[in-house]
Amino acid sequence: MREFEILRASTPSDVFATLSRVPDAKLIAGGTNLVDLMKLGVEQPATLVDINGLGELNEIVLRDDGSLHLGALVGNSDVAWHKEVRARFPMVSEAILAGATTQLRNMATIGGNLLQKNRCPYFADLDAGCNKRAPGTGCDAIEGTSRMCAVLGVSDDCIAAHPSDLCVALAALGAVVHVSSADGERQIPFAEFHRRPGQTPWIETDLGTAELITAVEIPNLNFARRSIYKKLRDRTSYAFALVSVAAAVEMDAGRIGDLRLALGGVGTVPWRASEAEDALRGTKPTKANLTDAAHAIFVDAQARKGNAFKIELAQRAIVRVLTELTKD
Amino acid sequence: MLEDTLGRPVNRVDGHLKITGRAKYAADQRPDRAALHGVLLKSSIASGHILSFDLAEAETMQGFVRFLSHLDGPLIQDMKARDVATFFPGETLTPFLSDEVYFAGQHVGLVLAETREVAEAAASAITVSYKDAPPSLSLNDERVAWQRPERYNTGEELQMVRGDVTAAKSDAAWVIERHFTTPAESHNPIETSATIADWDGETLVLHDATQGNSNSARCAAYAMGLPDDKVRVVNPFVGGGFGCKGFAWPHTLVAAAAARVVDAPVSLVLSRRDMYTSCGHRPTTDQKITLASDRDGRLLATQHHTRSYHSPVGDHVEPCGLTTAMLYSSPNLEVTHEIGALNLPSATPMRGPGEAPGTFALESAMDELAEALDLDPIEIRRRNHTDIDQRNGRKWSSKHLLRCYDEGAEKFGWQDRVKTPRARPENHEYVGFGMATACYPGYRMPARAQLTVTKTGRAEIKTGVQDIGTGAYTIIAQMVAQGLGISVEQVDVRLGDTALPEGPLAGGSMTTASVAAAVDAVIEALRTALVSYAGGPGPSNAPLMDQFLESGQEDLTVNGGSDVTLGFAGGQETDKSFYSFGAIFVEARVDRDYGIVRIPRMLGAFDAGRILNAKTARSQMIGGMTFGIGMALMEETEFGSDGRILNPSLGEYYVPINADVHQMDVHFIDEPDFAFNPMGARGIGELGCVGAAAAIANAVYNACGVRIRDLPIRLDKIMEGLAR
Repeated sequence: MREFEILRASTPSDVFATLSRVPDAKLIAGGTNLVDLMKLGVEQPATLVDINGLGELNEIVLRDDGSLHLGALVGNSDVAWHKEVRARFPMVSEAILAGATTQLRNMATIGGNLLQKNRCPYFADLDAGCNKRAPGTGCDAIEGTSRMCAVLGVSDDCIAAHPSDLCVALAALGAVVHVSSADGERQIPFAEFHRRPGQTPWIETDLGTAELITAVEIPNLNFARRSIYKKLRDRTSYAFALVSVAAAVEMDAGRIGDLRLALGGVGTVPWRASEAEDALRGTKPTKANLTDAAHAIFVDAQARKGNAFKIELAQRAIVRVLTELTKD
Repeated sequence: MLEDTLGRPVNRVDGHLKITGRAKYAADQRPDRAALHGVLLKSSIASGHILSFDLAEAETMQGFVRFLSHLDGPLIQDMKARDVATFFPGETLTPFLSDEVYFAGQHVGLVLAETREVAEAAASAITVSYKDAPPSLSLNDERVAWQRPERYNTGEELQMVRGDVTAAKSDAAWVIERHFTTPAESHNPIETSATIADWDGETLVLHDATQGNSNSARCAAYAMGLPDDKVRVVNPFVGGGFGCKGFAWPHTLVAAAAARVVDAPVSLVLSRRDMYTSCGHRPTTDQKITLASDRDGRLLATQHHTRSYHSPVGDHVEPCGLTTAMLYSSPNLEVTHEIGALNLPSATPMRGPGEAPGTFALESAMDELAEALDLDPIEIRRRNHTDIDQRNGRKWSSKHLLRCYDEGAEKFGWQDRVKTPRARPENHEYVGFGMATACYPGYRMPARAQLTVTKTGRAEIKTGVQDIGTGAYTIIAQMVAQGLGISVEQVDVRLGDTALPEGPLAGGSMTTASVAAAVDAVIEALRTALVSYAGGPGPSNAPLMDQFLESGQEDLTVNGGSDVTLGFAGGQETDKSFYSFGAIFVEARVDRDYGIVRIPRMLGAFDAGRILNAKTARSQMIGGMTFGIGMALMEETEFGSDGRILNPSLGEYYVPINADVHQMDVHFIDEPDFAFNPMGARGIGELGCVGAAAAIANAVYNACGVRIRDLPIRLDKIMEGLAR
């Protein structure tokens, strides 16, 4: 780890002032990912801005319209065990509890979760080719070990999978990311927050360098009270998803009235399966219908030898989760 | 008379120190003078030469003290010139002797700084230029000079032929030939290796996280050009090893050399990442097994060919076939071991070296043979059971393997096993049972001890051996308490210091068996001393401590030990063979869609001689079986195409976590083996993990009909098998 200075901010305007003075400064809250990357030398910030003193970002608020606002600094564990979260959006709670370890969840924050880096082994190895870490050095994962890599949304420059569990649930629920900067506030729909790698894999989100995530809003969705986050992996805990599925279904007289479906472990971003949702809305949840919809998600998938199994695995998981949610 | 202390589930006498953080491990030691902190610079290439170091930025850092590399001239005496029988370095590479690079992760330099933080920052600021050479990284690389070494480091022959395998195969009713592979695996003890080197004039004190303090001392003495008695290694607490702290690795020698150069204590604590390349791993193995049997499943011929590797500067051979040569009656046999040098980090023994990967192949193949012949997996093993060590014709000192099968099967409920795969679906899962034989050699080495009894009724026992977390402190306290007729609380145990009477390496599961003889010797020495002091009143039945107190003497110290070496091919002449045995039973549940394997329960029935502490022994076996779950389902040290390890952290190298481990039952036969040592105990450290991977693979097959011969058993392999 390289030497760095750490500055403490107590208001958002402190943060903006510091960022305008030191544009390369990194914000730190839980630090569960950033500190690891600093130890590896992947991140070498000279300045950190500790934002844990921004008390107003540390609240969970249920609005009258049924939407839930999670402050960016709220701990993952606090969200996972929050009564309203568990009642209204069980998939959010399940997704958080499926991630990392108790210790990490206790430290990690909601805002940080959205910004966590991928866990591709070549990203963490300073001597490997990785366009995300060092633009122009190639992607060693494409011909290398790709078990943890994506099959959807990949490019010739990067196939790293987005690692978050929580973000898969937030994608399914159509969350909104609230950000602010010295210029004011704006809201970013979740589907637009993360960016696919394309030719610029080092640009991962829509967040500007001078912007601060203040909250994540989960809009009211009555039928999400019955929702599932299913995660498949190589050990039962403390492992990233090979495949994960976040889903909620509203049944209407034996047919699927409405549904939400998003996938983790397979996409370069948290993968909302909107087309599958459209295809299934109004249909009967027969195995054939569910299988067809799951299959269609992966028509354009680009797999490598080491991760081709994810396509079949994900389809089976989708079918099983939706079957579970649609049975009486 | 107190009731027997031995055998009872006595709590760890050092448990309180450990859970309160007062047990001082190597990295916790604080020398009198302030230590400098070292961080190793490791090669990023797998083969080639170092051209230069760019130190410009590092040298400007406040607190940076010194950089050491091969450019500083020979700091360490060339290990290649040593007498190979006297001590064991982890690798024969003498650190910093030349510019050559043999594997990625090799130490190419050491940064010394006033703080650990500055040392790390400086290390990350140093750029090394290399000239690359194409590395050899694969067991299939035929450019490598594959060789067949004669003997393993225990003295066992690695190339064996009995009878006529070819003729026997042609006579056989059934022949199966199978190919198995196991991946590289890393030990991952909780405590990372660490050495604090502190010179006091010409005497060197090493606080070293080692499983073998006396070996470390001898290595360091040679490396530093000192007489053996000028090096003291202290290691009162060691946080696990599993083999990676067995030999003396370069970092220990580097710390000693650096401390000499800068004339200050040097603290060199390996990072978790360092651990994957600095102190060995279990190498990848490629194994071909042939089993030829008659119609009744009796083995007529067995072949077991193993290929593994060591680094260009290592000499480890993974001896997978040694178990095969002894376990079952097979009149015709061919065992070979091939080894070559690859540009990968040095391989070294890891819990059950040879036995763990070797029995995965052998015991999986036995399961396949049983199925082919429509025999119960236990029955086929029973039919091939032998009371004679097949390698040398000797009888076993004590063998109760048949009882392990019988009692284990009964406790597990083996009779509920459904023979046909996929015949027991439950919800989304297939349920299956599997079993395998466990075995591990009984080793014993010389050990010495010193016992002091005091007027206050206390006893102090000193022996140099180390407790690597397995419970040696407690077992030794129990043995002394039993011998003197006092309670465990009245015994003080001092371990882990070469200034104490010498004991063996904590490897090969031999600490208890070896030290038992030394404790027995000091107890007998005390008895003799009391008899002579009292003017020969003759033997008494009173507890020894009572006799001592009645004698009215001042504190009394006696010494004793044993020079016996057993179990090694080069050891004492004996007409017996020594082995521990067991049977491991597994229930596996395999998700039919996802291929995910769960292990809801596992039971091991073990014949490991007399069990001296029911609690620590059970913990050892549970730990071993858990190790087996890791080996079977998830562990793999992954090398990239350029020889660097892709998953050098506990976040990415998967070992089982609590949620992977469910009901674990341990049953001990508990029959003493007095031919082995006076306490009747054999080692238990490694036994529990041997056979575990095969038992799991066999249970997975019984559940879902997919036979996985390439570890680890990951879900994609099962899915692929289910689709076939």
